[in-house]
Amino acid sequence: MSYRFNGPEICVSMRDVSPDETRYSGLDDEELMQRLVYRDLGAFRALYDRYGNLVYSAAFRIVRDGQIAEDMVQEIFLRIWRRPESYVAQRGRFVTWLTSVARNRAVDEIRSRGRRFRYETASPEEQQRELPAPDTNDPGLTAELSDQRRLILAALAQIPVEQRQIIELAYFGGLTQQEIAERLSQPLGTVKTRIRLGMQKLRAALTPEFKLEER
Amino acid sequence: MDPIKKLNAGCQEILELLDAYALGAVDKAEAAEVERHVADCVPCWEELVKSQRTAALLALSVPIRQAPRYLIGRIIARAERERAAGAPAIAWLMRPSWRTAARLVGFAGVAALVLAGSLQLQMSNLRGDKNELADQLSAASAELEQQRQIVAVLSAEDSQKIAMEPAALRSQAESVYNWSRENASGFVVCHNFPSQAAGRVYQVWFVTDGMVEPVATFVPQDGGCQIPMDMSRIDWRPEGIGISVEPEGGSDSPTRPWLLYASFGEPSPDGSGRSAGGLDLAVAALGP
Repeated sequence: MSYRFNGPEICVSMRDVSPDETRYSGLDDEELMQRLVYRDLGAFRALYDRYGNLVYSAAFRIVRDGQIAEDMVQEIFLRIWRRPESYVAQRGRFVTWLTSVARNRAVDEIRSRGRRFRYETASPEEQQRELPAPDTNDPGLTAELSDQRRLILAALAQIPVEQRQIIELAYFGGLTQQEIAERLSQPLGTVKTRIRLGMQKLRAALTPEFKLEER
Repeated sequence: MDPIKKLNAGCQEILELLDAYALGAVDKAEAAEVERHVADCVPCWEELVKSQRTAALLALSVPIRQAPRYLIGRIIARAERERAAGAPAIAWLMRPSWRTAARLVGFAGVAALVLAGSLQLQMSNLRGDKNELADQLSAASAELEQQRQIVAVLSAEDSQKIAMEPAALRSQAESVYNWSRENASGFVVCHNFPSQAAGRVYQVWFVTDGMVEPVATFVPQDGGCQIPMDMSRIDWRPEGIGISVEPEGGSDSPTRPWLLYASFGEPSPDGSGRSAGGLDLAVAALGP
C-alpha cells in the first residue's frame, strides 16, 4: 500500500510483512532446504521468494518462451519440494545448484523439441540489458545477485568473443562441441580448444570472487 | 598454470573433456568416459568440480525477469495438496498397478522355475564330482533362495517400489528398490551400471536425518544386479536410499557422491527419522 502525507511530498511504499516472512528471512538457503524434508511449506515459499525470478529468468533465457519457462519453474520447484535430498550442501552453493538444475532442465526441453528451438547467442546489448527490477521480498539478496551478475558479465567480457560465443552456445544453447563446429563451420579441434581456453580464462577471472578453487 | 601439466599423462584425454562436460557439450559416449574416469581419479574429479562451479556461474549472468505473479500461488497450492494428501507425489511409483505386479510375479515365477530346472540338469551332469556338485548346489540353492525372496516381495499385497534418480545429468545407470513390509524384505535391481576399477564396489545405503547406514555392497554382472537387502541391523525408518562407489569391502560412511538416490519423502512421525522400538522396528526399516 502507499501513504501520501500532506506538506512536503513524500511517497513511501510499504508492504505487509507476515510473521512467517520474518521467521524465514533469518534462515539461510541450506536451513530452508533442511526444513523441506519435514514438509515445511513456509520454507518452500521463502525459497521461491528468493529464487523464483532467477529460475524463471534462467529458463526463459534458454527456451525463449514465457509459457514454457513458467511450466519449468513449477516443475523445478515442485521437484525440490518432493526431493529436497537431491541438493547436497557439501557440493556447492544452493543458488548455483538451483540455477544449474534450471539450465539442465531447459536444455533438455529444447533438445526434445528439436533444433529449430535451439538458442541463438544473445547480442552483447541483450546480455547486458538491465530489465525493470522485479518485485522482491529481499532487497539484500537482490543486490547480492545483481553484484554477482555484474562480476560474471565482466569476466565474460574479458574472454575473446569467439571463445565466449562457443561457451554460450554450449551452456545456453545445449549444443555439443560437434554441433557447434557444424553450426559455425569451424573445425572440431578449434571448438574444443576455444572451449578449454575460454573456460580457463573465465575460471581465472572468477576465482578471486567466487573461490572456485576451494574444496 | 595449465592443470594438465600437473597431472599424469593418462589423465590428459579426460582433462581436455572436463570443461566441455561441465558445459554439457559432450556426447553420451564422452560423458560416460568422463564419469568412469573421475569415479576413480581424485585429481581429475577435483578439476571437474572446479569446471562445474565455473559453468554453474554462467546461469547467474542472465538478465532477471519478473516471473508471473500468479505462478507462486499455483506452485504453493500444488505443494499444499501433496502435503495434505499425506504422501509425496512419487507415491505413484511406490504403488505398482495390479497388472504390473502380476506381470512381475509371473516373470519372477518363471525365472524361479527355469532356475530350478537348470539346477536339476546341473545335478545330473555333476554326479561324478561330489565336491564340485556340492559347491554348485550351494550356489544354486542360494540363488534359488534369492529368487524365492524376490518372488515373495513382488507377489506381496503391499509390494512397493521406488526408482532411484541418477545424480549425474547424463548417467545411464538405473536402479529400483522394491520392498514389502509383510515379508520383511526388499531388494535392489540395477541396470547399466558401469564396471568399476579393481578394488572398487558399489555400496547401498539407507539414509535418515543426516545419518547413513551401510546395507550391502555389490559388483554388477554385465551392468545389472539383484541385491537382497539385509536390514536386520537397522532399527530406524529410512528416509532415503542411495548408492555410491566405495573401496572393496565397503565403507562405514560414503566416501564418494551419490551415484543414485531416492527419497521416501515422508519423515517418521516424531520427526527424528527413528522408530520407537519393538517389533515394528525391523518392518519399518524396510521402507516408508
